[in-house]
Amino acid sequence: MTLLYERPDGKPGTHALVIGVGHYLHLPLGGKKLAKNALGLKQLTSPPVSAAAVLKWLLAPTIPGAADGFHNSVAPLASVEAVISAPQEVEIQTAGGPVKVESAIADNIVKAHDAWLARLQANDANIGLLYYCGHGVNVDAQDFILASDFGADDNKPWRNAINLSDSLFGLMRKVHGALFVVVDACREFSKELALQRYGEIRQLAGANLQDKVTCVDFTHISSAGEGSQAFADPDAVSRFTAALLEALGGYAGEKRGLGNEWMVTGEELAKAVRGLLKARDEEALEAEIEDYEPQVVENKVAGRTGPLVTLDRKPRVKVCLRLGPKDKCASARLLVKPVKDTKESEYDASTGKAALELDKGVYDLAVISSSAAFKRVDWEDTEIACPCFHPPPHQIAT
Amino acid sequence: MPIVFIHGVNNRDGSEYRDNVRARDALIKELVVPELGLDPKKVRIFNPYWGDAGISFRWDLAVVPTPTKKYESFGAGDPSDNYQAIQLAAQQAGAKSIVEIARKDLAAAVDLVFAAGIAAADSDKAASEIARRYRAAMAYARKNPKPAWLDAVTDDNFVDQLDAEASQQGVESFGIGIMDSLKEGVTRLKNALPSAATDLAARLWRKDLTESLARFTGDVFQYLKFRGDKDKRGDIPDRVLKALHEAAEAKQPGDDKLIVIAHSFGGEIIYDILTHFDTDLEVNVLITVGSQVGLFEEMKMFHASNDAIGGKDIGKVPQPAKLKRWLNVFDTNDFVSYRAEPVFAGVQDYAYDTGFGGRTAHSGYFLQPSFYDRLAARLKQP
Repeated sequence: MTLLYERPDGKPGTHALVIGVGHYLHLPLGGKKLAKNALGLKQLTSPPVSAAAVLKWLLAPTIPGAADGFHNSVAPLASVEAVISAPQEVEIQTAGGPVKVESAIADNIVKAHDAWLARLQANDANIGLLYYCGHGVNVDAQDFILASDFGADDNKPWRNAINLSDSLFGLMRKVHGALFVVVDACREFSKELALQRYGEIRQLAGANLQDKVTCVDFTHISSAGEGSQAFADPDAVSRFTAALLEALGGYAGEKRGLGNEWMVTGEELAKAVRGLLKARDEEALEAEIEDYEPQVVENKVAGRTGPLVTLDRKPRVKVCLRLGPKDKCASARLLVKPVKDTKESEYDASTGKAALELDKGVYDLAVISSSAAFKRVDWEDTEIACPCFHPPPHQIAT
Repeated sequence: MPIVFIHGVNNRDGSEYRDNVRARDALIKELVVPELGLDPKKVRIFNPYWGDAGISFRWDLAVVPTPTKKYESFGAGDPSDNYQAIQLAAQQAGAKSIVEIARKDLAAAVDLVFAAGIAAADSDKAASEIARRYRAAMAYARKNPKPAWLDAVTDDNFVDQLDAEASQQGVESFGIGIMDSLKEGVTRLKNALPSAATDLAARLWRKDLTESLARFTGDVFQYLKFRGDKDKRGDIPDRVLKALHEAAEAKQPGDDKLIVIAHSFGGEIIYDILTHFDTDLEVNVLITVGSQVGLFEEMKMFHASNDAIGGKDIGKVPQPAKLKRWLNVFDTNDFVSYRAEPVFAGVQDYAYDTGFGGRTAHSGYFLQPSFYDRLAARLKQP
């Protein structure tokens, strides 16, 4: 386990644990003895890259000159723990220079988790963030994540798998503050696994279901719905993690009270990630990318829903207005005016599409023709909400 | 390029029939269509089903001598789940494991494993993906016939290693993907191998063979008795012809060839259609597989059969007028497949060794992905 940052002053803070598993020692091409039941799983290149991207965002406020990253005025960053497995050792830039991150074998994941949990439990106002990216499977309606040394023991093939579902039951009864769990893994049901009687599966936190749930604010976002897959381009941040970082980077948020602060709660974050992935799917389908599979995200939000991130500016919205038929759009222009403002902005819509970004808010929109080819169309008091505003295509009447 | 597959006798709707259709469609789309320069996504395959118009037995084949009750417990679960695996395993009778087969002939093991995998596919998408992975695996096996990793794998993880070695880099999925179906097929094959060489299997074949022969001949008689003529078509030619017309209407500019693949007695049905029921129907390519068209013409059983044509000195029957190309595939191990060249002008006979023996050869053609590779290669030839 590798502690990349710590602010040990005991004040409320956000404690993060980031796990990325791309190199699996006992899967094909892993370099070690092949697991007896390799489950058809392969080596992955995206999880170390995705985990590194999350760490970069988290650590940004601690590194002078770094781009914008994590910010929470209520619970500033307090610790960042990481374990990552990749074919080559992973180095993460910290305020003190580059640090090599320990591998994500099962023992290291458990130790990292225990240390993170102990820090999280030290103050009831703490916020915990647990992020995992790597292989995952679902058996008997339970989600499992796989450590880098999964399959090491042929007699106990599941010794280095972790029952995430049961672990979360435990965490909800051990954490007193807020907990955000973000899992970027598949959740396919495996028939092969369902017929195995696995011995000794690990669990991060044990659970007595008779114990009361103490976690007051719980968010669990999965990159895949039950029985579904999560995808990534090789050597790139995964689709889900890219959407997550985009959402956290300003495309999510609701007003916090009456002031000028905005907050990204679990609810807002889940909605934003779903919306950004949906927009990506729509673009891919429009571009007719071969064999593209849309990704289904699932989330659970419970409790008070406080912020994971606070922002000192309005969240942004990706706007895309489509017009048709295309042959009528040559002179089309989009006009945008905030309802509380007199200043109007104009955007080109001559291709039948106007793509722009706006601050979250209420606007008057209009489509006009610069050559009077069609009558002006107005949409007043249009709510432009995070993360994307993609209304159905509007057909111009002539 | 619409494709019509006309099944032969002894096909009855059920999980085995539907699994076969799914596997066959995926293999045609992924292995044959791209070789012809066409887009698998745009090809439509029609599978007219006529099995329920075939023979029915009043006493439900009570006359078939039944081996002892032992055989009713053969195999785990629903016997039809293992049927294709048993057929494939029987091809390798004597081999104790898949890895043993792979160490002798990796390409043969690839064909076997992917045939079993595609038979176990539980969706069209899984079947298509398995067919695609087969191409990569077979290309790998031909380039690397004896990879070092074969020494270290077992039947349980053979296909994991093979797929990882053979797969192309592309979008990653953080999970199992279609491997579940592939591995289920491998498990069925693994479990079938020891049984395939035993007396148990042989006795099962016997019972199955007698029933199959009864349905085979029964369906033939049923067709001949009730096929009708062009003025009043019987149920079987009517259904098949409707599918052919629908396929012909599905032709598109630039993609306007109608291809018919007919297995076994399906060959006789399409020949009857092209020479009698609808002589205006244009077919660009007809591929008869394990068929008896030549035999039935020798017996003059078709509507269009002309008694004046026959015998070595009196010439051959002309090819149907609107049929542009005819390829007839037979396996000398398939005791109900026949040549066509001695009888018909213009047809090309093609001997194909399924590697199956006896009873399994007749239905073995379409189980093997390698059959589709070779079919594609033949179709590309002028």
